[in-house]
Amino acid sequence: MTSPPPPPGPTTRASAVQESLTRPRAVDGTVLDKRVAMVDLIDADSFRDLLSSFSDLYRVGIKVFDDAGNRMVDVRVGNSALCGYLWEFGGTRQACTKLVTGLKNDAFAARDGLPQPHIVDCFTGLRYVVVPLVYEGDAMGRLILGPYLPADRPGLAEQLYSIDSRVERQRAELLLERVRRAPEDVIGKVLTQLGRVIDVVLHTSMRQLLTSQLHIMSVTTSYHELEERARQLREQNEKLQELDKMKSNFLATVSHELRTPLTSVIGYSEMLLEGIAGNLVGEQRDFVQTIKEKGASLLALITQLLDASRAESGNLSLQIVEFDPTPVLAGATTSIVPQCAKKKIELTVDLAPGLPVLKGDRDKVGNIVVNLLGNAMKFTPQGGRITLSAQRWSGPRPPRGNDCQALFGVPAEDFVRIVVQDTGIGIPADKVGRVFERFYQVDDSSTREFGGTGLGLAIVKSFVDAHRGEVFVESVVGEGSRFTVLLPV
Amino acid sequence: MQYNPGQRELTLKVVYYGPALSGKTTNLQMLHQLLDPQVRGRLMSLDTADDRTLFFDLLPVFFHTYGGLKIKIKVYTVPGQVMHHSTRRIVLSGADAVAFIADSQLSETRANTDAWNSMIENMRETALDPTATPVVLQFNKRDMPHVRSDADIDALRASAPHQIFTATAIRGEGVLETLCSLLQQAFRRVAQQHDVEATFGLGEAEFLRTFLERLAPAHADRLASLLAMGDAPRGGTP
Repeated sequence: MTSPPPPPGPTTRASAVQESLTRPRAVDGTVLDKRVAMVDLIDADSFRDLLSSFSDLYRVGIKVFDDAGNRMVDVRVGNSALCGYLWEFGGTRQACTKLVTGLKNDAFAARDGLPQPHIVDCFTGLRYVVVPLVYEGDAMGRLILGPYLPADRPGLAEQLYSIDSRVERQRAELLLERVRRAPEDVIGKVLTQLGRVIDVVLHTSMRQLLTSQLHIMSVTTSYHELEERARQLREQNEKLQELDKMKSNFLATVSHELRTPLTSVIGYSEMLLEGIAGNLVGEQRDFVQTIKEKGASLLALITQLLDASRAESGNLSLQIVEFDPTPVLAGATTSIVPQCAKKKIELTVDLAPGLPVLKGDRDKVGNIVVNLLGNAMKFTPQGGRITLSAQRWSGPRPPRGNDCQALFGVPAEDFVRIVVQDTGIGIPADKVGRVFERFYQVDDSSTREFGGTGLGLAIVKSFVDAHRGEVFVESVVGEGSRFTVLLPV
Repeated sequence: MQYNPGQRELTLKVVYYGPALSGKTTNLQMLHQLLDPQVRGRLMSLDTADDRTLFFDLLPVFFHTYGGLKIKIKVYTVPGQVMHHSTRRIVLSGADAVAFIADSQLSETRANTDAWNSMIENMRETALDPTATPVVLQFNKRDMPHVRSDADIDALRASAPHQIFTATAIRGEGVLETLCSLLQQAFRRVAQQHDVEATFGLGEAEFLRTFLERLAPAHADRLASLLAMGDAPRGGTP
């Protein structure tokens, strides 16, 4: 007897997932409609164990073949010795082979389109029942129950001894005793029970298979949809970045174009005030003075815009020199002295002697302080106090909440620490983190009350960043704010 | 649809679509009860702990025509919940006809509209032409208070391009009618694409009559007259 080839292994889940993820995006419902082979549906080992228990219980052999003729289960009970003995002789071996081929392959008769079980009598007088395994009208394979000796038969068939004369009657009869003798109604019951169990197993397995396949399909579809959405977002983001860059370039150009004629307006106003075109009298002088002052504040505003847009478009260039920060800081205070006097604000400057030499852009460092002082001036009410202080300072940078810092700590560095403290209105705790954003105003009404573009602190931040420094703010609403700049030495 | 003349087999796929809790699964459960156990398989429900459909329900139906063609009908429901969007599409893919189960309650108008729009969108996404794929509309839950009036639905019947049925699925009313109409239209569409009649001598009337006699003999006459197939030839046993 030849052994059928081993059943092909079930498709591995992992490779199915991999395959479905790499497939192009498409909704594919055919997974639900595919006809499934029994070997892919049922775990062969568990199925064998299940049928072995049945076999043990009823002492009858069970074989299961799938629709392609692959043997899935072969449990033999009692008949092995007899069949083994008969296999030794040419005639019976041939008859046996023919019988087994028929058991495996003979077509079922159909009634109403459904295949019907049939009985096969062996040349030995033993009997098999061959039952089609059908699931939802589809043939899945066949189950062969037997051999058993029908209860109404006295013993082995006489024809056995004529097939091959070497078969010894006494030996054969002795081996027959190990074979189950069963009445047909018992066999009928066994088949009914088995049929029910197999139907449940097939149904459950099909349910599991469909669930898992749909799960994979569902995840795959969602994955492709998300991937598509991510691609769209990426494209939109790129477009926005491009637009942002164009906007910054535009601002830089416009600011430059605005500044040129404005410088002339201021220049000519100054010349008029100096009397180059003749002496001015009374109100003429006041009016020209106003033109000059308003021109100057407009120029400052435009310069701020220009700085901010340069920083934004990545065109910020630093003139790196080594310089003593003391005169730069002292010089920066002169920009707000007149306004302090007007608002009766007390300005204290406390620069520690012997500040270390800084390496950086002198003008930009000056601008940092001018902007911080201007900001303090804007938000400090009449009669308030502004303090500018600077000293050498060694210590770690403020934590940024990243894991690496938490794990390894922050090394100490040497800085010039510049602090601008005011007794202004302060910044609410939830807004502190945003004050360095461009165009950000703590609240909209402050724009009208205090004026400004919302660019000053953004410029400070970009200049400080360009110097690899740090800037941060501590503030208490109603008491004032304290801006600290750390510039590395 | 899978048509395999060599194996003498025709598989039709019909899908029950609709908003959550409109009674799609109830339709299938009633079909499972009403159809002859010889020709239908187990009702397979992939549901969650709260008994709402997670993936789909599937009721397989199979029978042979007198001409020896094996007909397999797979009746699916899609999950109504919004979160199962991709599953709906997978199940809908390749459908030969769709039953839209609407909730008759006036309060569910919005849910019906949303589900209908999502069905049309999903049909397009799965390469099903919404104008060519047969859609049968069932207004379910007629036993509930505050539902769309019969007059309203009659008016709709007169103007809509779809077959419209009323149902109380929980009592089994209107359930077989919806399925029969669905299969009639699905078969008609398949017959247009493949010459089933020439190959197997199976016309629409024959298909439906066999279906009714095999599946629901107790209701065959009523349904036959409903589907206007009174003039169809009556066949004997093969």
